[in-house]
Amino acid sequence: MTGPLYVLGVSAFYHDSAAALLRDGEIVAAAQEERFTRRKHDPRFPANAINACLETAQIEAEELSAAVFYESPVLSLDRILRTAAAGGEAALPSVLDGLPAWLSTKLFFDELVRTELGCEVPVLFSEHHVSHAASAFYPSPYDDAAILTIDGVGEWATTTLAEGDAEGLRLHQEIRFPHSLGLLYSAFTQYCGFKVNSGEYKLMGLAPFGEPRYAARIRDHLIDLREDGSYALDMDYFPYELGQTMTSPRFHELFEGPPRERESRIRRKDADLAASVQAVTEEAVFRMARHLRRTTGRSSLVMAGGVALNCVANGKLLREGIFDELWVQPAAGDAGGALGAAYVGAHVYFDAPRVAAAPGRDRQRGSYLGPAWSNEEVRSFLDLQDLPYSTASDDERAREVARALAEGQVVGYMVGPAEFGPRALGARSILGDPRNAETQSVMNLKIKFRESFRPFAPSVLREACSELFDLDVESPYMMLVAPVREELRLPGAADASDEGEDLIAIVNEPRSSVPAVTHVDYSARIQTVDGVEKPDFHAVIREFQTLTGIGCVVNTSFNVRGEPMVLSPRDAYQCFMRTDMDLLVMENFLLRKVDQPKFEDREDWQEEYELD
Amino acid sequence: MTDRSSREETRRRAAIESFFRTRVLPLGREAAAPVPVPGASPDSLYHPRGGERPSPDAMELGFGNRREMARTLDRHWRGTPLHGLGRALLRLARRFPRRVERSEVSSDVYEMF
Repeated sequence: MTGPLYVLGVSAFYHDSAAALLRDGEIVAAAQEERFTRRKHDPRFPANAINACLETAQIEAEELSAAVFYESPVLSLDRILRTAAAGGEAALPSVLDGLPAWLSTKLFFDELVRTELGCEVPVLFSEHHVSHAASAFYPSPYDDAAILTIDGVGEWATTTLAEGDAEGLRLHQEIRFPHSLGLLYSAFTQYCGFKVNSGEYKLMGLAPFGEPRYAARIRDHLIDLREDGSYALDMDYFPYELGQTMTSPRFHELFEGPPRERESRIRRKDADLAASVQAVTEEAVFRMARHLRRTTGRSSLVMAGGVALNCVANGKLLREGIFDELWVQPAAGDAGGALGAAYVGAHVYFDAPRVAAAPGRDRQRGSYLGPAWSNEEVRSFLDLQDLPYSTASDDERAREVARALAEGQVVGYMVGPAEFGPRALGARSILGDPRNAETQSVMNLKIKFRESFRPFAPSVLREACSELFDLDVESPYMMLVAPVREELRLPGAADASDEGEDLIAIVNEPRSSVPAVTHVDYSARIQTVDGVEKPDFHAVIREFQTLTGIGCVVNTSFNVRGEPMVLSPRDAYQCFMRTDMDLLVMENFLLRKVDQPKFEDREDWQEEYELD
Repeated sequence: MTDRSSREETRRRAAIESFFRTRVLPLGREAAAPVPVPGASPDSLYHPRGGERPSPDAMELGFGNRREMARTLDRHWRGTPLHGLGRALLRLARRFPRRVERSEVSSDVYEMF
């Protein structure tokens, strides 16, 4: 082979389909299909994401050495058919529901890829949890590490313990379906009235409002959790094997009532359930981590899989000190499986050497791996639409955004390549002033149109992080939760667990000098920002610090509830005009809401997006 | 849905149901039993993978066409109660039109290039 080795990774057909492209083992681009199609968690074949990757690399599909699918259809079918056989007559509805997609689409990925790419690219397959493990290890900063992947279900595996070093990956142990920590969490997500596969994050955000009153009940009845972190669920409480629902009547009996209706008032009990399953999940993760440390002897841990998006557990795991270092794949869910599959192709199949990381840095490039729009393209869009704007140099833009934030304005910020993964990291973000106690409820209710209890995250200057938070490591991907420093906390703030049923009153109570990013338990989901991966965003926060003395801003994803994060100038402008944002930044163009012409829109535009 | 497509849909559902009743259901719980794990600790519920490394050969599934798929599946299931299901499954797949749910692409998407 003479040219560069290009390997495409693809995840599809379940949720969050995505594509990722490596050149000689180094990430070129990665993108999620939902960002293009505007359909949250889009599971369809990621034709747009693949095109975006190829365009970024400026190659034709014929130049690909291989396309790698992120899981094995053989092992998945093995699980599905064996589970159906064991389920007996009761399995028929799920078979009727699920098998057609296999028979018309999922079986034919190989053929589909060749047809869509229009060439005879070799098609390879990786195991689901091997893809996750690869996505955790190869882009990490470590030469060697223990690997922990936990999710709902791959083929059979739901949890995998492995390690990686110069020789590659080695798989040690796994937990198999139907026993699944991810599905245990999802079961409580559904029981508490949130949507499976997207509401888990809300459940985690709800947990600090409650007390783990049900944790013992979960341990006694639902999960047999062993000292080494291995576990089994009592499947009498979980009928999901047959695909119809997550929790059984026996589960409802154990927790004294039916599931909460979606969108109904959140009760104290829901918060307590959230706190309880969060506590049990953390306990399981800590035990697995201790076991991994003991058995592998490695000092660094890397994680992926949907459960690794639980940044509360990640933060506590780091503080437990079981491992010296922790790195979590920012696209830890199935989208990141595409990246992992590409890595497996490059390093396992083609035996490509691992690219060296710069000292102290990882290989994920800040996860700014998606498509970008040039100033010329933004200007074309604005001129075509005849929209009023001003331009600003990079320095002027930073000052202007900081000034707007300091005045309490809310800013839509779209600069540079889009993020790969579920977190907005300053490329497609809505920014606000963290000092304002009302920022959280205003941004939730008037901009995001989502539940007011949900906290916002701080993006903080790397060099200022320890002034505000008890965190002395980098957290560039918002994958760690850490406490606000003791001296910044406001005295007299009530304990959330004492506040009865009114969660709104608790949300609105300021708890620190950066109240908009301080959750009820004084925690914050932190993004540290440095001047290397994201200099434009770093400059904004630095200017804000100059104006206010606070080196952090509120950062939430640039979208409304149920909408994928914005990608293009059109998406950004539409979201800006539909909400109470004051200023929109697209590359070096600034648009003020007061200057904009009336935005013609459907009255029912919010129905475009299915609530998450 | 037209009458014709509705009839086809009904026939396909009947075919799946028949496949389920004749090929899957008789396998019973025995098919679901996990492969016994030699040497597993009584204190642990982990399935060992023995430090195995992902294999390049295993990545080439042989899933390029129906015949290859049937062969691959049945090779995987050789010596298990599921042997033979590969061919049966691919026969069943013939009744299902190949479907790629296409996403709509905004022209905006290509502005960036």
